[in-house]
Amino acid sequence: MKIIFYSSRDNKLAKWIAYSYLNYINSEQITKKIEDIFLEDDDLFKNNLCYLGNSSDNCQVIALGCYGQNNIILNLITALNNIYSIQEEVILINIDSIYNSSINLGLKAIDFKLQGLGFLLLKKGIIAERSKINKLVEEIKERIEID
Amino acid sequence: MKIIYYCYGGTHSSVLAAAIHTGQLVSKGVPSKKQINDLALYDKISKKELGRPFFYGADEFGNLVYVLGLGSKRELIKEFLLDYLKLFNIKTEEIILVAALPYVSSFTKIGGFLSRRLGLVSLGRPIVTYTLQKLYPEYDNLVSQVKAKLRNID
Repeated sequence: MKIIFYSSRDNKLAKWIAYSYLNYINSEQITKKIEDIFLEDDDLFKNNLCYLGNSSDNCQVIALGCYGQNNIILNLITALNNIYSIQEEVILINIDSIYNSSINLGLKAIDFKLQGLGFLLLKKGIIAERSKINKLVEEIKERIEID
Repeated sequence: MKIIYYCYGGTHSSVLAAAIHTGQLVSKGVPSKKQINDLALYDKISKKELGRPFFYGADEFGNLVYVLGLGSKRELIKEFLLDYLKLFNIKTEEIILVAALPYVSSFTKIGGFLSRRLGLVSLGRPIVTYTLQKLYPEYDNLVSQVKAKLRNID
């Protein structure tokens, strides 16, 4: 089974949540992980669909940034699954609800090279959404257990 | 092999190229307006169907030909398509993605926009068809290049 965490923007917040699913992020690592993920080179076309590892429940965990092309990408996934008779289940998780104003401002600040302020806001925003992220992760795990 | 002709909407230039490729239009001589307008999927695909490849037919080598609309971020979606298949260990060497858009003129784009986006079919479609007739030799040549490549692969 594959789990694709996707965002309608780039894949960075999706990666963050995917790493949370993989239990790669604990409380002490939050600041470092935010910087690692959000400072990565932003190449629009390469590694946009990014395999991050296998979870304890043996699912391949993947992050994807759709850059506003959600409908096209979702249509393509459905079509490719049909054309190639892909039987393996693919769970698609939209993470757009995690973006809050603090995360949005942080991302803008990083775009404008105000990295200190940007990371501060990002960290604040992500910590504020931790319970939502944890809930999302737990829901997926439960769904996979049922499957 | 799978040959995918792609453009913005997957309904004009890619359909013309796919029709030439699959022998639905004669390779020599410019087709009439009616011949182009009567092509399957021509000026039919809506915005919500972008990203969905449509099977168009098979060529003389047995390759399967598709048309696909990829919207404005075509390079991104192309990368995604190939990366997604690699996740499932599907051989991407057996896919040829052919851009059908580079030959179109501004008038083709305007006609396509009028017809598909604004729903002004009676105004937009004739413009697109007229410009594609003018561009027909370019598409004929594009398909010849693709077929030459296929012969080399075989």
